[in-house]
Amino acid sequence: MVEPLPLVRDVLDKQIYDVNHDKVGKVDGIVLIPRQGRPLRVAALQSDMPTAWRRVWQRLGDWVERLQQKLAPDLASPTRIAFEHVVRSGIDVDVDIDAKRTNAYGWETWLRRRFVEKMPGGKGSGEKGE
Amino acid sequence: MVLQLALGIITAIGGFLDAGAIATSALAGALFGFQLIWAVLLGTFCVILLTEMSGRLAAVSHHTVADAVRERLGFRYFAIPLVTELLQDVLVLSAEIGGLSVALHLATGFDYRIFVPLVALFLWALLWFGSFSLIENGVAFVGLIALSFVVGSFITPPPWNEVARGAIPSLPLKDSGQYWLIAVSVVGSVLEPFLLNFYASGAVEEKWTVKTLGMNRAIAGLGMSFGAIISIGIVILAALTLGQRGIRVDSFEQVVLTLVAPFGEWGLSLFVASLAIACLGAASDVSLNMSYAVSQGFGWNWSENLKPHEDARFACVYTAAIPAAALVVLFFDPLNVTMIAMALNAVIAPLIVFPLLILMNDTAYLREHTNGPIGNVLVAVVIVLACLFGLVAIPLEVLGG
Repeated sequence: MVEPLPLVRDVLDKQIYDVNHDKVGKVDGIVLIPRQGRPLRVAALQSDMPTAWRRVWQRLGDWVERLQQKLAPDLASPTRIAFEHVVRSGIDVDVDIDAKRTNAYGWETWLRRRFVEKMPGGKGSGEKGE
Repeated sequence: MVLQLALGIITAIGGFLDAGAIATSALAGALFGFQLIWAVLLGTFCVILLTEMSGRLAAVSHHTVADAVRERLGFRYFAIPLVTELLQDVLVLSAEIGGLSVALHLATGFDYRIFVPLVALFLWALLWFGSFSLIENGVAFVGLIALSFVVGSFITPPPWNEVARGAIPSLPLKDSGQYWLIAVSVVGSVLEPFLLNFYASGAVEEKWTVKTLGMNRAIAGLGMSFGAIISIGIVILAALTLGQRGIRVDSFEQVVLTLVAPFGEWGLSLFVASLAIACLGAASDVSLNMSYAVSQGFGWNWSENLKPHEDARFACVYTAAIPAAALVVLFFDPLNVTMIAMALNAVIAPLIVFPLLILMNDTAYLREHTNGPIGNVLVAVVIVLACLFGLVAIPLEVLGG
């Protein structure tokens, strides 16, 4: 017997960790697919700012999305992780994929290249004092 | 372990004292003598209770307050404290940058505005290049110079029976609007909402576990209590020096007298050093908290121990916040900004404290370390008090001028 999974309690808004235990983002939305005569199918977890802000106010999410498109049109698509990759959920959600192979770090890389690397000491990696 | 405990206590003392604590305590002493010491004690009791809980949450679950509020109550709730706390943190940060700039003005005689961009740049560099422990322990150690306020109150001893009477809440004898506004501001300066998430984030940075729960209790209790003793020292000295001369504090410059009276010509240097270090410590804490809250809220990589290349989004939050806060204090008087920020602390406190009551009873996060009935009753009392203060703060701000 498969245990039911309360999506809103145990998945939505939780921290996603990838296979290397790196932070991927929070679960900002859950993608459901309607099926003829059958219950909705949980397709994917979605992580991106417009999705989160849309839950507060639709227009706010649209504004954030428009701003993102203005800044970097290539990065404006949300990170989606197929639900089959979820291996555990509770206060965190663990997935069995490597986040570096997804677009989860798109904005992180964009800011790193556009700003951080141009500042003094911005190119070094690792921990401070190493 | 003992060293870690001592460092933690010193850091907590440093975290307690800032431009707000100095300004509100001096104002309280100057206008109402020892009568508002109870407000310092009340704020301290609340902050000990709440920081112990946020430290416990972090040590047991390795989740901070911002993390857990979003995860447990959802983004629709989380967005409200996130946005209000960010706006409030910018105001508190501008008060700290203003305080540090005023300290440099007192040391050199130049207009404080000249120092605002330099202070902002120095603060940014400290966060950009410094590790968490360097920033926290280093600044806090130097900040022990603020103990001059305690030493000063023994050099010019007050009537201790009157000081003790001030520890009991009493109704104002004059200017009731101003009395309650300052009381709310004093509590707000101690119970700064950003401290809760900052303290929890520090606990995760320092890798606390269930084994450090005793240390958490000692750091929250002793560190905050020592910090309160410094604030009470300021109230006493302000009552003896400013109050007795009928000086109504309308700028930081007048507060210098609190240390000049007991220490003579050394008083100015001690005051400048105390104000500068207290403000620098608080400015770094509040800047980091903005980065912590946003990064944790959206699930990004975060740690002040990582180089900015590793957590670019985290570093970019404080990089954007510092100039924004510096702009505020370029156009508005630092003492006014400080007083408004402290009163508004009381307004937003319920938004942050209320979720803590839910989180501290969630076994998914706290396992067997959830709150007991006494802890819950005490948090409920703090929530009621915070709501009361929050409701009256803005009308009092208008009435009390």
